[in-house]
Amino acid sequence: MGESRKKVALVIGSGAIKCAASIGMFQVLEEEGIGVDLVVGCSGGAIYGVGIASGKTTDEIKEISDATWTKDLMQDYLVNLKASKDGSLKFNERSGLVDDNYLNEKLRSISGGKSFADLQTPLIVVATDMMSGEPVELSEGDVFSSVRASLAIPMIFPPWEVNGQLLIDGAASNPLPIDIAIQNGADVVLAMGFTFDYRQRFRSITAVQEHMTSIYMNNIFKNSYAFNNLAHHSEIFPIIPEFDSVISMFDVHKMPHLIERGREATLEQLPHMKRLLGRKL
Amino acid sequence: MEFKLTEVDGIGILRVEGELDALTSPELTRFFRTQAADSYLHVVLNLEGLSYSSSAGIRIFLGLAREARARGGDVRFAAVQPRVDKIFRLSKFDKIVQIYSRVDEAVQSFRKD
Repeated sequence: MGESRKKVALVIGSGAIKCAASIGMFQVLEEEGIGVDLVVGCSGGAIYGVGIASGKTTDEIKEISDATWTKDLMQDYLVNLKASKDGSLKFNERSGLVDDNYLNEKLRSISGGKSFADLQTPLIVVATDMMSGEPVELSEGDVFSSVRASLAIPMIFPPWEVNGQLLIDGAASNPLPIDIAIQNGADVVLAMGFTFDYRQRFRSITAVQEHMTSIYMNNIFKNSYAFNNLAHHSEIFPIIPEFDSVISMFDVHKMPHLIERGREATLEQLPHMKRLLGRKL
Repeated sequence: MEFKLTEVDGIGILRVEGELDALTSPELTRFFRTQAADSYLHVVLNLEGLSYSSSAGIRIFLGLAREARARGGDVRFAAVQPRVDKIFRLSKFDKIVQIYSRVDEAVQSFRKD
């Protein structure tokens, strides 16, 4: 009896616009004819996960990417931030500082009205339960709702309700959900993850708060990677692109750089992936 | 993969050369258990010639260190190359085992215990 083919999962972690590096990873996999059996996406990574799982070409995913990360995403942020400080904006568990109409419109367009069952490749989107803090796997029903929930950056975008659960950003509980890929049968995990850049200047309480969040998030990322790497038996290929400069949320002009760095990080692991998958080097 | 076992002051020095992944790591386990573990309580793994380690490789290293510690000894690491060092740090493996820049420093660390 021949050896059965290894199940390959692509995990795209949280990282907002940096997740565009996954386009470079996907380009390499396509060029090499390496098929993906499962896609797992978290937060920004969920957007690209939908593109890949829908069977879109890398050019189509790049177009989506260019159109997504614009300043329109942050509609009314500054006005609402000011209002939250002077008390005129009352906050509760369903609030966010951004009017999410633009985000919702973008994500509806990306999801194309599809349900998970319509996708070419199985997709799992990761969000976080607002009330318990537990990670939540979303793989059924409406793709838009799941991606919207996974992207609900705390305080910025309002949480999103799915199946009666109020959900926020998957990055709050599982920024690089390798464990979910493995629990769903992956033998080989290609895990693209991103860390937050640290600030050098602090000129406002918001800047300090953002910096502290980066520290928390980077430690969640590193600790969960370390646990998954040592605890599981599947082979994990970490694909961690490195960037020359700080990448801000709306650096659309850096898209070619992001994609190239995603390619480079993938090519670094490629010979090892191919050897494990029994491909010619 | 290639392995070379030598000895300094009763401490085993195992030089590991090549690339360590799910396919090659059983070779290291086999060599370590049959050649090094029975003869030496303390072993330094000289990784100067190791150019790559996957997650499976790190799990094997951890397993060897655990086995040595269970016998009252230890496995320490030396001359870790940048690509392998990057994965050690990402995996926080450097927080679990002792890593030294040079083999002689790793040997010296056992004398201080």
